[in-house]
Amino acid sequence: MTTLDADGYLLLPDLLDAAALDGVRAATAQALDRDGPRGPGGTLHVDDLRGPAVEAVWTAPRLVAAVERILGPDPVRGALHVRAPHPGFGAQALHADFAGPPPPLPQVAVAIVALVDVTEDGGATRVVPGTHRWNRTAPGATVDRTWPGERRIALRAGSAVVLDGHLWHSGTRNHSTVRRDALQVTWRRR
Amino acid sequence: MTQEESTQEEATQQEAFEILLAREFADPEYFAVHQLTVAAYRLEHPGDSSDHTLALLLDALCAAVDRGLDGPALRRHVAWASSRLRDQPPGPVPRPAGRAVLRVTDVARARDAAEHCALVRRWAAEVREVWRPVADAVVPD
Repeated sequence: MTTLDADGYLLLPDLLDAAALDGVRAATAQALDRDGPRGPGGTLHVDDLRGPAVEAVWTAPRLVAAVERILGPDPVRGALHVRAPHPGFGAQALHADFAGPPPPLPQVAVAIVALVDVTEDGGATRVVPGTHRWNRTAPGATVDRTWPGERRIALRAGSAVVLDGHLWHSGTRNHSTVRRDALQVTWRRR
Repeated sequence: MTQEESTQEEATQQEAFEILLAREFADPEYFAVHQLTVAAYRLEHPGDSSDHTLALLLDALCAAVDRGLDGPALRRHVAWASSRLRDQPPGPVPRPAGRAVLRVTDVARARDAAEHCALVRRWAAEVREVWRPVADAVVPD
């Protein structure tokens, strides 16, 4: 059992059913056709996803409840985009989504919703449990280097992980043969 | 109860609350009463919660217990109440002296989702009664 308070992250299994997943994948394809991908390199970023299927994800009651557990009631939604490392790409350094040491109350939360099955070596998100409470910034030079205590979060398509935005986390290199598509949504405390 | 016993008791209650949350986040059948669970626990353990938060939790609890709101309807009500409380801050929210007979540790002994939901609703109704004098002053009719 992981908890948002102690570990800084929480798994939400089977958040989306097959129909909802298809809807988000279709919205991703439409955004790609309309606007093209953002940024260079081997990781695809797709912004400006639209439509009821996408709204149903970030307003899903279990997801909102987990975010509110971090940020309190009625948090403000920020960026929403798909991050999709191609095979061989996606490695990041550990980081938090907030500059500076954690303030007394968490200010940022992030949800990552898997749109494909993600194995531990298939570009999974890694986290270092408990670091959302540490009064120090994430270490540099951790691309492709493990950190003591880190965990890689495998997710079935449609499942999600919600992170305290102050938790050290990062993408990892996608060693699978398929693109790792995941919808990322950010909120901040009101 | 000594200070040490009180601290241990609080830790036990917190641990039971985390168990309830884990069940509710993992299983939609348990999640059906999540808003009640959060409101009941946090009103029983207000700690250093702000007046805004306590008033909002109390408003949500009353809407669920008194008017039967749940799911999306309760979420819409909470969003509306949060906005209203930002426009019209509630002022100091007193903490009642008593507490519900049913405890979060009792709820954590539920054997399945149906029993969990029934116990949470009973617990929430008890907490609502404990907070009735405060609610009469804080929650609009």
